[in-house]
Amino acid sequence: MKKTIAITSALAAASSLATAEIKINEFLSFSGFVDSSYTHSSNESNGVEGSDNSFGVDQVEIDWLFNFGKVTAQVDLEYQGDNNRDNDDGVEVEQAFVNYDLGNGLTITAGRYESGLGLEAKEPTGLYQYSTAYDFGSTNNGGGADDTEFGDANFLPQYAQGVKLTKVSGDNVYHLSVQDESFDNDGGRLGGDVTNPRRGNDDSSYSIEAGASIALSDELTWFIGGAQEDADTGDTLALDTHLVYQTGAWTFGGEIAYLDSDADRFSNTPNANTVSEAAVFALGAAEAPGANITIDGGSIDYSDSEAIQAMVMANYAYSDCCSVTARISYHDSETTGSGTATSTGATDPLDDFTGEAFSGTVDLEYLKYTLAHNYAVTDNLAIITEISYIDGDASAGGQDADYEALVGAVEVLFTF
Amino acid sequence: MLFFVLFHALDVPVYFLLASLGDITDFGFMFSSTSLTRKYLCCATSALLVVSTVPNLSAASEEEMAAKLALMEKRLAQLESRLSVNEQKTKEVKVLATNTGASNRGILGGGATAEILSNSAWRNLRWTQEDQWKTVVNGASIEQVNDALGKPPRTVKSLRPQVDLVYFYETSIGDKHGLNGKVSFRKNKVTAVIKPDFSKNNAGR
Repeated sequence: MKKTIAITSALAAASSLATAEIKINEFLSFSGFVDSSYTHSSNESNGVEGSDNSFGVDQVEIDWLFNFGKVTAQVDLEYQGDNNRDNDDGVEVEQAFVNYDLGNGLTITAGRYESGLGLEAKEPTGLYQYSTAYDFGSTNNGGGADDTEFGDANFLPQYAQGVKLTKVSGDNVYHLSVQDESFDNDGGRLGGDVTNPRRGNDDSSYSIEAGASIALSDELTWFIGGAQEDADTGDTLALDTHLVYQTGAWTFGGEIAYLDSDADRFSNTPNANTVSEAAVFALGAAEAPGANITIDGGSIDYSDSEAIQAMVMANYAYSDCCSVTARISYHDSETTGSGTATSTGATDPLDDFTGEAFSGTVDLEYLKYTLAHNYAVTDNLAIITEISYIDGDASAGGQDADYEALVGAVEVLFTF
Repeated sequence: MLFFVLFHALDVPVYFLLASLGDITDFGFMFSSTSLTRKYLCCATSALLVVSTVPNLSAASEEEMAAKLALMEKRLAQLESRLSVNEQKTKEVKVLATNTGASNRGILGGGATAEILSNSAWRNLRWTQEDQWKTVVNGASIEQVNDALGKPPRTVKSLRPQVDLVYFYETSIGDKHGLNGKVSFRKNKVTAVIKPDFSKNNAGR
């Protein structure tokens, strides 16, 4: 597993960086990977123990690369299995963009492309370990307060549609992007007042992302960037900075990111189990944590949230084929919201409630410790093993809920 | 007829010229159509005419001839260049055809690969020549490798810890019997080179 430094494919295509490819002819080539894994997790949430495992193909991706001289293009098609970490099944176009080389290191990119923010790569081929830093896992014990399904809490942008200008100057890379969204709020439009009653959704947004990757020396690279999204449902700002230091067989990395949002940032996030969060709210408002109730309905609106996430990692290559990685990652967020919750499955029917209103603040705090080993069988086949310990706390309305998990994973990654 | 009269009229001054030099003392031959001396005189007259006209002709076409010569030399250089390129391609295709292997286990299959490669002007095959690998050594830049060997048909972002990128030079993907070379990079510098086994290549020599 390679390159914690997230050099986006659009950025790589825009610069002179070489990319993996199998040439079909002068104009067309392709590359890709197959990622499959087995995971087992043991968890305890609010005193309730559970376990889970998954096995299967997480992701298959084929990237088509077009080269017409000054004009290059890329289309990434990906399949994500049922047990993928993004809970996003089926085949989809992950990226589709075209680059035009303006000369003097300037490139303009248009289409759908990945964000330049974030220390960790967005594909498994760019990671040093199996899991991502801010994926804190989940438990599913049939619903209830012991369910913790926040999953991937990473708030940094992933993919969006827009136009980007990239400047490569020596080892320094700068980018400025105007796009439809950054945080999954009101995407598919680019600002403006939208009045189309037949579509039923008149919300719109636009976002600006900028970043600079500066080589402070041959070994040390510093990145700073941010994204500001202006959406009808609320504005969101994220800032990200990270350092990477590579010397000999060692690679060190550190990142800190900050988010401030008055949008309902969880509403469009598939990993956010709003019912579970509603349960936390409800418990905070009406019930003691650990009560044997089932929240099976409800809704929640967030009005304001603030979050910070950080990580440090170290990788040591002890041979030509193998390396070990240690990582500590952290997420802390405070979200204010209000909503309703419904419980119909409590052991004692008297504990059930319907449409109970609640409001308050939810504090989430997670720490994740990861140790991973990477064995490269060949240049394009690797076996990654990982063990992670996750410790999380949630509090709402003066009540606390604890979450602990031990996750083991074996991943087989094949690239071409 | 006019040319005949003029030609023979010229004989007279030529005769007097020769006579004044003391070369001719007998004038009877002038009246004999079979006289050797007269034939000699006619030849001399013809030569004189030719000699007298040649300088004028040369002066007129000198520049034209020089231009034609330059054009032909340029054309020759172009033909030599084309011949050289074609000879190189033929040589490379022979190398590929020889080294694609008896089996068709490659992704494209041995025969298909040779056919595709031989018809593909875009594909840079200079890596099939042993001399081209001399400058590909540890520490060389990726640009130097591209210049020496051309861009490879297959590139992989390596999953190995200390390698960023690997160039695979193969006559056929996955064909162990063909020519196979590999260059590994870290930070755009060569860290390892595996040259093709040219000893089993006869066609390339």
